[in-house]
Parts: sequence; structure tokens; C-alpha cells
Amino acid sequence: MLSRFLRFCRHVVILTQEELRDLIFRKRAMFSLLLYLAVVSVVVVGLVYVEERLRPSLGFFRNDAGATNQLLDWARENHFGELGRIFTELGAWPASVVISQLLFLLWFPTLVALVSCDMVAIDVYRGTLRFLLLRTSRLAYYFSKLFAHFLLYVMLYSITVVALIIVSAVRDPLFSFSLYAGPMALNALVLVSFLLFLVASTQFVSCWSSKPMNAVVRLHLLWIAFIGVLFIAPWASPFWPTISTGLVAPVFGYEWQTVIGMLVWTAISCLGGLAIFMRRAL
Amino acid sequence: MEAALRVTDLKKRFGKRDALRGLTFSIPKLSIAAFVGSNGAGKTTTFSLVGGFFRPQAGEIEIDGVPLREFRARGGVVGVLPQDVLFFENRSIERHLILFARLAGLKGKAVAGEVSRVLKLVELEDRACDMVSTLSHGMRVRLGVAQALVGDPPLVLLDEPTQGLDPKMVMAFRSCIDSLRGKTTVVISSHDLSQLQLMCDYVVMVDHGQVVREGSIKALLAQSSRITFRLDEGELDLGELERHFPEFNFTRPESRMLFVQFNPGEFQIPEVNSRVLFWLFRHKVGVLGVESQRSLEQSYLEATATS
Repeated sequence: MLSRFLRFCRHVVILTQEELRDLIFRKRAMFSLLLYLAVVSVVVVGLVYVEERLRPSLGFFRNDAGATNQLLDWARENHFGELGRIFTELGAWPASVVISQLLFLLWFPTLVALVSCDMVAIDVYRGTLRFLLLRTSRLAYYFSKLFAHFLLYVMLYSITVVALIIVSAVRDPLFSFSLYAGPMALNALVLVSFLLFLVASTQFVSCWSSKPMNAVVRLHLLWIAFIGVLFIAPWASPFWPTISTGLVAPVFGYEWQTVIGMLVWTAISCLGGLAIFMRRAL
Repeated sequence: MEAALRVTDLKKRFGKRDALRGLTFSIPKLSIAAFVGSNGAGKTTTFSLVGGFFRPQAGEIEIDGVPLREFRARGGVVGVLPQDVLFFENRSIERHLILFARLAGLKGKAVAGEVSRVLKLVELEDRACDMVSTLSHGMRVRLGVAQALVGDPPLVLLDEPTQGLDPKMVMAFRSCIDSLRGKTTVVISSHDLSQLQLMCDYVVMVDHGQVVREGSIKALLAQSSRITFRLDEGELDLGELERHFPEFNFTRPESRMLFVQFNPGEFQIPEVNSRVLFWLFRHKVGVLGVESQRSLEQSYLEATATS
């Protein structure tokens, strides 16, 4: 039993290495990744450059002495006390950290759809999956794809975060590591769990499609369906506010709700994808 | 007989069509076996089931006496060259083989050694660094054979390995298979029966998803029921010959060829040969040659004609 498990782990590692190598050096992936890094670099550097101008604007939400708190008062008076608390907390964060998090929430789904939507479908379509499955199990193949794509986005995210810190350290006169470290750690916690869900749900769709183009279309339909479900049974969507609030505002325990919610949805997507993949004819 | 591959009552259905209808056969260990059948007979389906590409509706597959599922769970590998040879276009030959060798459990220098061994077998050593996208069809087939042999699997299935190969490459492939004789069990599916006859020592013939004939090629070809006489120019009165030997059936596909068909249960080849030959000499019909052994093709046509 142990030897089987060790063989499974070894196969996952070997296939993950191969997939990462292909992902980074494949033309389409390389183009997407370079584009991502270029856009992110410009935006991140830009954000840090306007940090000084953004800071007073965000301070508008804060209840600091001397700062305007009209919006906060209005929110409290209109029973948006929780929203007010969130605004207050976020207002204490560096503006570039808050805004970059919002941008990641838009960029990563697009990038995942562009790079990963055919992660399984392309091997089925090309027939290369047959060769691989002669040598390894479907389970090892499935998890190697999940890990490889997840690692790729985590690497990209890490590069961006490091870049943001470096540029901020150089540019922001009020920079202190403690000011940035806390908010960035909270952002990273929820974003990594979100990335895991994104990759898992994309893999689910990819397992369900035999052509790369079908996978792209189905992935978008799935996300639209998740949004549509919000109006009928919000708890049945990963974008249920209880889960998704922490993505934008990882404060006051929302971050853990998000992490747990995303892990649950990752598990659901994984099981769904596996159920399809283990049964599919090649 | 110790079987390397035993298939019992295998059934597979695609939609409303039965691809395999209770297929049962055994391939002896360390043999080079031919898997023969017409288009749609179920050869590729059988290979795909043994390769684990899809699951059968019913039936058992055993490799070295172990059920396929258990065999694979233990880390066992069946080397398969699928009919459509598809690889990662943006990877080199060497990279493909290194991946397969690592997945076979080899590490460090053993990986390089194994890759070089299989490259030598298929004569692709000098193309090791070439990308798959630059390879011709023949080279892709050779790479397919190489990947099937990586890690020395106990059973190798080759689906149409000589398709699209030039005569020189077919000869090279034959010598590659010869080098595997006695080391591993190889099952080859092909429509080129003359090549199979030269390479293989066991045959399984399938038709409409069922086995119609199975056994050692030597024994199968010895059970001949026909003698072919190649004749010189000259008159042959076929009517008189038929009247003289009513127990035999004579046909002349062309003027210089005579087929004598007989019941192998009643007559032996030497007896039929000497009687007909004596008659031909007496009637001054020149005989240039006699062929008594039937071909695999003939055997296959007989087997499928009755199925």
C-alpha cells in the first residue's frame, strides 16, 4: 500500500514538472504570462506611484481624527454598520494593496480561462493522454495537472507581490514593512484559496470537454451559472457573499470564511472532475 | 501453456454496435503473436481495452495470471503502440522517452541507459534531440515502438506497426522484433499477413468481435488442405483430371497454375502430391514447382469465410 502511494506521489511530481515546463514554454501560455506580467507591472508600478494621492482618498472612509467620515456615518445611519467597519479597516491599508487585490480578482479568472481551460481537453483531443495513461494512473495525471496549474498562478502572484513590495519600498516615503506585510498576507491567504478553486473548477470543465474550444465556452457558462444561482439559492454559489466578501475584504474573520468556502468548492470541483475523468473513454 | 495475456469472454459495445462479442484467447508467454482480423473485427478495441483506454462491458483480462486492474495497481506496464501515433509535438524524442523511463520507475543514469537502449533498437539514436513535429510518419511509428519498449514491459502490443513504413524500414522493424524474441511477449496487429508469417510464432484471428482461429503458426500452416502446382507450357485436360480424382477438387486460377483441394481428414499432403504428380508426368505436363504449405493469408481467408 505504501509503495503504491509512493509511486503515485512520484508520478505526480514527474508529471507536474513536465506540465510546468510545457506551460511556461508553450507559445500561447508564454504569451499570456508575459502579457499578464507586463500589464501587472505597469499597473502595480502605477498604483505605487499614485499611492500618495490615493491615500487621502481612502482615508475618507476612515474614522481617524481629522479625516472626513461622512460616508461612514451615512453607512452606519443606514444600517450598513458592517460595511462601515470593513471600509474603516481597509482604509488603514496601503491603497495599492487594496486596489491590486481587486485587480487580481479580475485578472486571474481571465488568465486561468486563457491558459488552463484546455488542461485536460487538449491531451484528450491530441490523443497524447493515451500514451501517458499507459504509464501512470488517471488519478496521478489528474492531480499533476491541478498542482502544475495552481503552482504556476501562485508563482505569478508571488512575483507580483514581491514586485509590489519592492516598488513600494523604493517609491513610498511612508513605506514600512509592517504596514504592508499584514494586509498582503491576508490578501494572499484568500487569493491563493481562490486560485485553487479557479484551477479546480477549470479542470472540472476541461475533463468534461473533448475539444479545447468547448472547454473555453463551458468554463464561461459555468461562471455565468454560478452568478445566476446567486439570485435563486445564493448558498449554492461560490460567489455567495458569505464566502466572497473576504476576497475583497479579508478582515474580521471574512478571510477564514472565504478560505473554507473556497476549499469546499475546490473539493466539490475536484470530485466532480474526477468522477467524469475516471469514467471517460479515451 | 503459461499465458502472458489471457482474455476471457470480453464484451464491448459502442452505442448499438457490438465491437467484441465474448472474445476469448490466450497468448503464450514470450511468444511473438499475430493478432489478425478485417477492419472492424475488434483488434484495436481489444488493444485499447488491454491498454486501459476504456473499460469492457463484461469479461476478464489477465496479464501474467494477474487481473489487469491489479496488474496496473501493482505498477505493471503494458507497452502499447496505438493505431494513431500521437505525441507532444513540441517535445523532443529524447524528452518523450525520458518521461516514460522515469514513469517506469527508473532513476539517474538508468534513465539515460534505457533511453539509449530503445533508441538503438528502433535506430533513432542520431535523431534523439529532434522535435516530434519534424519527424516523418515512419519515424513517429519508430518512436511509438520505442516508447512501448521503455522499461521492458512483460507485454507489448503493437497496432499496425508497419503501416506507412518503407520496405527497408519494415526489414529493420522485423529485426527489431527478432531481437525481442524470448525476452518479452509481443502481440502485433497488422493486415500485412506475409510479414506476420515471417515474424510471428502464434496467431489469433478475429472476426466480428470473436476469435475464429487461434494457435501456433507452425501447426496452423501444417494443416494444409491445398497443394499448388506451377506448370510449364503444355496441354492439361482438367476434365480428365477431375474424372480420375473425384475425391479432389481442382481449380486453375491461371493457365500455369493448378490448385488441388482435398479433405485433410482423409488425405495427407505426401499422398495427394505423389498421386497428382504421377498423373501429370504420365500425361506429359511439365511441373516447375510444388507448394504444399498454405500461407497465413490462406488460413485467415478460410477461417473468416466460415465465420
